[in-house]
Amino acid sequence: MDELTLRRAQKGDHAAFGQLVTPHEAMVWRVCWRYMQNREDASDCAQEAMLKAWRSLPGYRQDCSLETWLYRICVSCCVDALRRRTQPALSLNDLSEAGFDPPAAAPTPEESALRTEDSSELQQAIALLPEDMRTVLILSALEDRTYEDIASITGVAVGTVKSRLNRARIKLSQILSQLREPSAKNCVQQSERRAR
Amino acid sequence: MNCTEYTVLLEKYLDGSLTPAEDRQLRQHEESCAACAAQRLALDGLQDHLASLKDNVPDIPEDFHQRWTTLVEEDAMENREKKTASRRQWTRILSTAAALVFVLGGTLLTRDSLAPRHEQATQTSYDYASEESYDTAAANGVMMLSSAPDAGSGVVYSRRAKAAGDSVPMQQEKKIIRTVTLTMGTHTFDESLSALRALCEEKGGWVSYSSENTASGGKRVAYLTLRIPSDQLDTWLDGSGSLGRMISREESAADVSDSYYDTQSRLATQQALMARLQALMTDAASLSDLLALESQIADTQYTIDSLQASLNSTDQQVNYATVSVTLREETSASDITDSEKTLWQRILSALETGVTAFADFAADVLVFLTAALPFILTLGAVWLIIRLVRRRRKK
Repeated sequence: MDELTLRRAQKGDHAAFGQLVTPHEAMVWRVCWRYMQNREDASDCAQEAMLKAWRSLPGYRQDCSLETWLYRICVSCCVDALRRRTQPALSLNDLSEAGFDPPAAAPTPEESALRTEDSSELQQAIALLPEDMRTVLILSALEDRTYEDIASITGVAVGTVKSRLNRARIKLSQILSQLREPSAKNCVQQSERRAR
Repeated sequence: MNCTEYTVLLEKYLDGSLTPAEDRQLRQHEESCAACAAQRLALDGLQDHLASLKDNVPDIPEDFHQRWTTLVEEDAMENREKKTASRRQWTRILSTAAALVFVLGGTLLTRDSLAPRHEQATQTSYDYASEESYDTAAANGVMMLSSAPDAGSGVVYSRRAKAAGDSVPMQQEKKIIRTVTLTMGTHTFDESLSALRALCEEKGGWVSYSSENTASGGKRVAYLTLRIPSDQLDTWLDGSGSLGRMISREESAADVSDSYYDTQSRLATQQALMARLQALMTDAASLSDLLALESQIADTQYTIDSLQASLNSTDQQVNYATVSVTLREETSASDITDSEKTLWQRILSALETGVTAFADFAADVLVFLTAALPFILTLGAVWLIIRLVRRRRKK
């Protein structure tokens, strides 16, 4: 990263900001897509993340790489956007009561083509994970970030990241099992209740 | 082992930190719980399953780059406008503050020098002695005497240069020019003024200068220059003290004895010379001698006249002291002490003082601004030129 470009961008030069951030725009889009699972929402969220990065850049102290810093901003924007969604997040119980009716927005033809049956199921299962678990799972399993990076992005200890990731995997497998075999649902529900 | 305990072991399994005993417990539970067994199987294949999602991302929208750069650009512009507006606001605030400091500071600093001349005159001790008298006074030493209006015992004498009397023969009378400056306040202005004049004439003196004008607030002020016989000065001062409130009093006494007696001896010499020249005139044999003697006599007579005039002038100043009086009209409320005033009187008095002070200050501001007008106009012109040049450069 060019120090001079960074300094210029921090002082309000939007062209310098473009030079810094454009190489990471694919990452920004990808993360937002993974969270939002909807082209329009992902696009809005990614733009919001870019704007937030521009506004927050004067406060960037280079205590982590620019990419990690951008990850942090993207995650924060996505989490906020999901919280803002008018539809309340569905729990596993809601899902079972409704007879599994996924709340995903209508996919575009491109999205439909991309979604194989399996991947669609997996994406829906990820969407049902609690927020903290979803974040570590996306960053680790889908974005290949190191534990240290994830700790820096989420602001928790590396040990917490590891345990949270393991729990996310187990939870995900439980959700998937339930989705595939309704008979296994009881076991999952039982474990959920105990966990509460 | 129940399903919850199994989940704890499952986390360890994923971490790779399972002991052989825990591994056995895990598998035992799986034998009895098909769901947990299926879960572990699913978990083993989950990583591969997740990997398949990595590339399952649609392409970036074509207009994404354009849209976020436009957003950032607009935000940058908005920020710049905000900064400019903020800078302008600060410039306005600072300019106003600077103008206030300029006007108030300038007024306070220059109000004395731009005040009416008669105000200064009241603080200046002056006498009507000739220039020579001033010089001789300076040469012989000046004795200053000043006293506070109500501190008669606190008289301070100061002597500059060497004592004039030391070089004067003891049998000769000292020649001292006395000058007094008084500032008085009165609420019976006309009566006090008449009484001052009358007292002066009663002591054998006269008024050499008199003026009267109305100051701000409608109060009258009179300026008098009185000539009073020196031997009557002290009794006149005692008498005038009861004619009004003494605000300030300043006395000076200039010893001109050295200069006076020197002039006197020069006069005697010239007179002796004149007598000799006149005696020679009677014995003159030729016309040329006669003409030369007449010319010499004329010069000597001129010198005698000027020396005599100088002595006369000094005598006049020595015999008649110069008293400068400033008499200010005051309201009767000013004479009452604060403890005697009612609350209403105090409020009125404070209001009057405030209004007078404000009016005086406003007048001072106006005078200062008028005096500073050339500077303000010059600076304004320079500023306009700089602004025009900058605008042209920007274009």
